[in-house]
Amino acid sequence: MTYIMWKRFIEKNLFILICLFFPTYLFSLRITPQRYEIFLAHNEEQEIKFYILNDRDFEQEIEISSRPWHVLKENKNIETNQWFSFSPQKLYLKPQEEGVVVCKVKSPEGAVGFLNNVLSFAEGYKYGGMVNLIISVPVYVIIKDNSYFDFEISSFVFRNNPVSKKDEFLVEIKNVGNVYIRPKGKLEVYKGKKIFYTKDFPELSPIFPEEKNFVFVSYEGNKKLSNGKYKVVLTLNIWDKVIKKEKDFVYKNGIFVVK
Amino acid sequence: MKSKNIKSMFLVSALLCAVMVVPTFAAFQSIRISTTTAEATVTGGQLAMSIEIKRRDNDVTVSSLTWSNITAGSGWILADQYILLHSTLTQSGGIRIYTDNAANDANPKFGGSFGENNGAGLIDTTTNTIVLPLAWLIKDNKVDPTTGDPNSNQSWFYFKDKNQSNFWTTTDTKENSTVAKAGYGIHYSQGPGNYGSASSPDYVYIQANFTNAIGGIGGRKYRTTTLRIELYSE
Repeated sequence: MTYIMWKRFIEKNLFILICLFFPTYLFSLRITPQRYEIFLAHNEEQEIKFYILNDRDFEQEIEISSRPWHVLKENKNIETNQWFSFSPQKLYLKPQEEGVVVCKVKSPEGAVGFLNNVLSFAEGYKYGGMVNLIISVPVYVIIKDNSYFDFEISSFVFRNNPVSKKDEFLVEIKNVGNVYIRPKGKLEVYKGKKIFYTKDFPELSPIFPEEKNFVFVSYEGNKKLSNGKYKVVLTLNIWDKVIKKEKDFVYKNGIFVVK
Repeated sequence: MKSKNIKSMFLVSALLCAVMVVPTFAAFQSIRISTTTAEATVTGGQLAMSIEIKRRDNDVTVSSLTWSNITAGSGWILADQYILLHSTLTQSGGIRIYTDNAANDANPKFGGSFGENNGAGLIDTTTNTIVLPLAWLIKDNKVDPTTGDPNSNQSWFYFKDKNQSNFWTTTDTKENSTVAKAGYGIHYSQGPGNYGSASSPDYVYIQANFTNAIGGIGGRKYRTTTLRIELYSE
């Protein structure tokens, strides 16, 4: 298009162009950071901040609330206000204005493993007066004095994922420590004494103490599983620790059974 | 219009073009992980989410979910719309769906006792102890699903209500009812292992059970004003 053509086009269509180029956002909120994980010894405390940016093109009210998320049974008697507080509870933000929520956290005497609370940021806007969106970010305090990490392998599955249509291993693990685990590390599968498959996997969702969940590891090998004995070795990198566990399974007719 | 002004407008339009390439779905964002510790530091990660409510028959964007021309006693019926869910998730996060029918903004509020399984769904606007159950289903493509009872069709998940005593307390109340998407994919079937990698956007369908709906002159209305879609980081 030549300059003259652009000129005529813009003269005639400026209003339409502006309408097209400024799409209406139904919702827009940004929270930074995504989470806090703080190692504290008993009676230590710290101040942290979350930043909330209103991306919308109008002023909006953001309601901030807090709730316990994963509470270790050993910490049931610790009230949230003994270790966590925040301010303010509401923000009125103009377009592109950023607000700050300040939290104070501490590790109270008697706390075990970890403490966890969640801050939720809810926008006042509702889709059709019915649906609204919330974003929640956690704060973890890991108790330096008595936290420990450990896990067990519970079960092992091989399958073709019905959505992605890709093969994958699922290693079910149970957290037997007193702090959440973010599985990240390496899976090794042995057929007899020979390595059958090995793959590193990225960080997955946390598994909390006494809970079981799956570690998903994609299978990109060419070898087919056959009936026989297999050993599963799972190595997790948890903070500065490396924990390795193994378990024997028998594969028969498409299913792994604990040996 | 003077040539200088036209040049300015040309520049402005070029800038506007640049604005247009910003993805419109990055509505809900949370960026960066902060770790304050002597032992370790974690960085990176981004979350984003927004929704569009669209009519199932022609994909036109509308503002709300509705059920039209329903006969009392007609069983599970799909909403006339679906929710197009745009999201980018890190592995340590998810999206959960539920009602919050005792919240300050609930109108009507559920008038009964929530217990473990009551009060989730559409509330009768005349008698607020009557509730029509809701269920959701998530897919990675737009094909209207077959309706079904979540007790027998595991692609469907019963809605939980945030005020139920077992809300989000057990694997069962998370993985069989609440979590639509995790970092490792969409929750295509009830149960903790049933996630499948699927790229955004995803399609969330909602159905309501009208088996116990009460008819009458002028029709009876059922609604919730607190259908929450919550993006969370863990």
